[in-house]
Amino acid sequence: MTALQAFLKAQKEIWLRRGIVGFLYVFNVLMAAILTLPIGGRLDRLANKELANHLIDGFAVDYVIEYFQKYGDSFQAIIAMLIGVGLFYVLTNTFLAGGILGVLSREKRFRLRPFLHESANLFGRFVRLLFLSLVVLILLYFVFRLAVLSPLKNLADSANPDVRFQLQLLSILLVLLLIGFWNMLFDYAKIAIHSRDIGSVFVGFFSSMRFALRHPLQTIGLYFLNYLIVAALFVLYLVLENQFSNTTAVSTYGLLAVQQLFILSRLWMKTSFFASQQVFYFDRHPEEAIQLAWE
Amino acid sequence: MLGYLRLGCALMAVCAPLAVAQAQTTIFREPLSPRLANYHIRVTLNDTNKTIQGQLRLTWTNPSDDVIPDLRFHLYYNAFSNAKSTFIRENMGSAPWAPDNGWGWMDIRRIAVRGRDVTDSLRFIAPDDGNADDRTVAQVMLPQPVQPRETLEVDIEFFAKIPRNHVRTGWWGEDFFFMAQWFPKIGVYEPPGMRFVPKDAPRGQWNCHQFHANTEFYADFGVYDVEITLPQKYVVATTGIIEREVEHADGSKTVVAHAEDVHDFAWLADASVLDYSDAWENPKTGQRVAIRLLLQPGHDIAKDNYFESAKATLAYFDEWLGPYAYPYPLLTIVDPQPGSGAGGMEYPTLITGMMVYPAAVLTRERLRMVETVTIHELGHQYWYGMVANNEFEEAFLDEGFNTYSENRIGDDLYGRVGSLIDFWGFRASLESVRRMGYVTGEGQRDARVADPTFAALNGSNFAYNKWSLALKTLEHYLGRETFDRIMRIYFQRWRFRHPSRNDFIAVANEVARQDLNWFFDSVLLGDGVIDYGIARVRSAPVSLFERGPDTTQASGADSLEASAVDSLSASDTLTAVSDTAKADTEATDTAVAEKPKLYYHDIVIRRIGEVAFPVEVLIRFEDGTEKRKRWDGRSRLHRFTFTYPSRLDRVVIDPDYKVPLDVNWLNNSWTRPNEQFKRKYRWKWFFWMQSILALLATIS
Repeated sequence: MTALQAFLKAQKEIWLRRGIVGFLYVFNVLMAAILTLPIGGRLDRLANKELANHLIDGFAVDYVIEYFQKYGDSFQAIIAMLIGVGLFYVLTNTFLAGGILGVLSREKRFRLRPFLHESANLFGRFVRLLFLSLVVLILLYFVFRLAVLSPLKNLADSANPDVRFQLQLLSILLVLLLIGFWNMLFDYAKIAIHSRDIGSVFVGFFSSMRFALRHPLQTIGLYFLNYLIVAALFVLYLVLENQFSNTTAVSTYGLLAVQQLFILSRLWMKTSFFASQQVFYFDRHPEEAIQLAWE
Repeated sequence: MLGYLRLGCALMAVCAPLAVAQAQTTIFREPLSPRLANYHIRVTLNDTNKTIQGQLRLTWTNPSDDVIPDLRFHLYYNAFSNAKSTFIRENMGSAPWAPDNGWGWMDIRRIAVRGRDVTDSLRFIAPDDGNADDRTVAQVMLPQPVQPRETLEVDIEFFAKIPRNHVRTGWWGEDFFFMAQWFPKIGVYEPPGMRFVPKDAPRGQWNCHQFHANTEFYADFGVYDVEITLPQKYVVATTGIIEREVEHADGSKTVVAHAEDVHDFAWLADASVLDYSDAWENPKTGQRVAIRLLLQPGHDIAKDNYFESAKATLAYFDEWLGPYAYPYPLLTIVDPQPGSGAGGMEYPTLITGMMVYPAAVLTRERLRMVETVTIHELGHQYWYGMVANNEFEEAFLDEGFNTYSENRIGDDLYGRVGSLIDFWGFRASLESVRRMGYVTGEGQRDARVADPTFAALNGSNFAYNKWSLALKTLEHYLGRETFDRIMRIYFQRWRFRHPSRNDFIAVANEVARQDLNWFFDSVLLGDGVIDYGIARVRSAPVSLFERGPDTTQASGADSLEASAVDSLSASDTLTAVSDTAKADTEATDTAVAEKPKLYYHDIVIRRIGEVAFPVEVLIRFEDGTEKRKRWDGRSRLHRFTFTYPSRLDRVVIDPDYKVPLDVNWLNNSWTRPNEQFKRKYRWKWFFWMQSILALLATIS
């Protein structure tokens, strides 16, 4: 099975279990709504100022200096809240990852009970895996910095600005690739832990390493195929956003609809990462695939 | 028109720096300045050791009727000689070069006056702070004092270790030298009547400050003839014009430069820079100014931006301040090596620009760093280069005037909103950035613009930001025509001289034909701020209002401001009450025939800041009718009352933003709640939160 075939098959499987995306979306909306609540009061305070009329057409610094001077401190509370909710969101998504893998591999349709059951079953291991992944990321980054980024920086320092800029872009690209590679490894670790019911996250991690190194082109190709589609969706969103003036109620709600479609598509792609990699993993390890009752 | 001559050979030398030896150039037929301090310098650059060795002949004229017993010199490089210099101490003790070979210093090896060696009499003094470890000012006692109006020759042999580039002077990398404040430079002797020396003072005084963390320079005008010997690989740019370059058999070359009627001399030696030329011509006067651009390789994207903004600025000043406002034949723009820290600085006829490479590429012309820095530094040719105030003491006289000019030119060229940034819906004008600096800066009430810059806590904020905003405020108050007349006369009267604030105030009062001292006393000499705010807004049907205050229909003024009236002390009584305009009555009369519902509007505005300044108040009703009322702003409170057949829509103090010195525009208005604003930003925020959360979820 090629990366593209795995990707396409995964899309069909997600469509059959689209409730997963719906669930993730509802959760995202709820959390974002909690973070939006405190903003309401601040907007009310500004709405009866001349500043509000100016900010309809765009964000001009001229009119908001005093606002940030006067109310800037209160944003610290919002940032603290964002950090808190963000951590909760990450943990909850770690919890839901087990459900996503479970429903995709065991269920014909999305059903809440097995979804939550699988989530609960794997949560402890996935949390440990999350911590391990952060440690690995830090180690990986330091090695990468020493072996790749520092020589690139030295090269850039002695180059003319054109080349320097290109090397800086290359560094950023390489870091993004590194993060992608790391993320991919831990996706496969989750898949391995789930499918083989591995208790040790280290075993799961090394198992995923072995798998990725055995099929480097396909695994990386599949991961970055998903990655590219996310990037394309982002660009598409930016193009669409520019079509809305956001100065009237109609355009605001029109833009909101586009934004929600974009968020839905991002959550779909989040599921697609898991689904397509799981499809590919089971293709290479059919013995680990759970025979679905409906197949 | 100025009587000056630009010989053809000068321009040829400019356009072809490698031209062979020419006869010595004269730029101006008649001197434009008093030419009190004239230098002939021979200097050799050792680019390996990063040192210079030089011989200097200074021809200096005593401008006073005093007998002067000593001479004083700036040795700016010594600010970087140790961690105890005043410069380093005032920079919180931070010496950016400490771990590296970055220190710099200057050593006077021999000094002779009228041919007589006086090296032994040289000593370092610290007139500002008494710091015995500071060696930035040297005093030489003369065996025979300088007689009134006498011209004497001073010969100096000096050696200097060039510091690693900091505050726009020194070396960077292997082959970049930006040389500013690199030679012993005589201070300014101020005779009685000049600047702050009283006319009846028994004698004048040296004005030769130490090098401080927050200050720049002050020097007399003169003629500079400078011969720079250095390896042939370097491209050289200098203040003034390059007369010729002579190559030597040992692989070195000598660049001979000449500048007239300037008060400083800077030069660049860069082995990798590219050399471009263009020119600005004034079709009305026929004046032609050659523009030389030294551009870093790979910075081609900025080439046109440099040239076009420079030409537009030259044209603007010419139109604004008078023909031949920039009288020199050449303007040199240096695009310094990235990381060198040499960007954004002005020297006579030579400026350094600034290109932030990735930002310039990514934003194209939406972030106008190259343009605005060029406008700013070129503006300094007028405010500093020609109108040569003392930057140690009154930096606002150049930085403030120049920032005002930059904002104005930026608005004119690129539009009022977004003149600095106009990128993906985020817009910032040059003035807004200055205003942000002022209103968010600390110590608004702890210092005065007029405080000596070198000692002021808030020196640069006030010099750049507050004073540029003050000039804008004054422009709005007087009207652009009158204000421009003031600027033009001030420029023409004081160019090639050293004005103080009093000289500007005198011109302003004279040209405006009114006493503006109230403005300067409070804004320049005072430490108060301008701040007006809405204290209370009530708007209700007349019938309801007549039943008493408890039953009035509050129209939405926020509770904080609504309570401001109540929180005032007894002395803050409402001094101006009831302003029912004729127009209101007329409007009411017309409306009565149709029996409309009448509304009673009661608006109280308040002076919160210490400084009183006239302001305009816009009152708009829901039927679209607008009234503009002017208030002299003197009392603490002012009330407007109206009876009108429409509800109030908004009240805005200073609706056209004519008082950028107002430190809080947020309290200047009350409007009916803007529902679209709430809708737009609430959903925008919501989407941002969704996106952030979705991004965070990628790690789980």
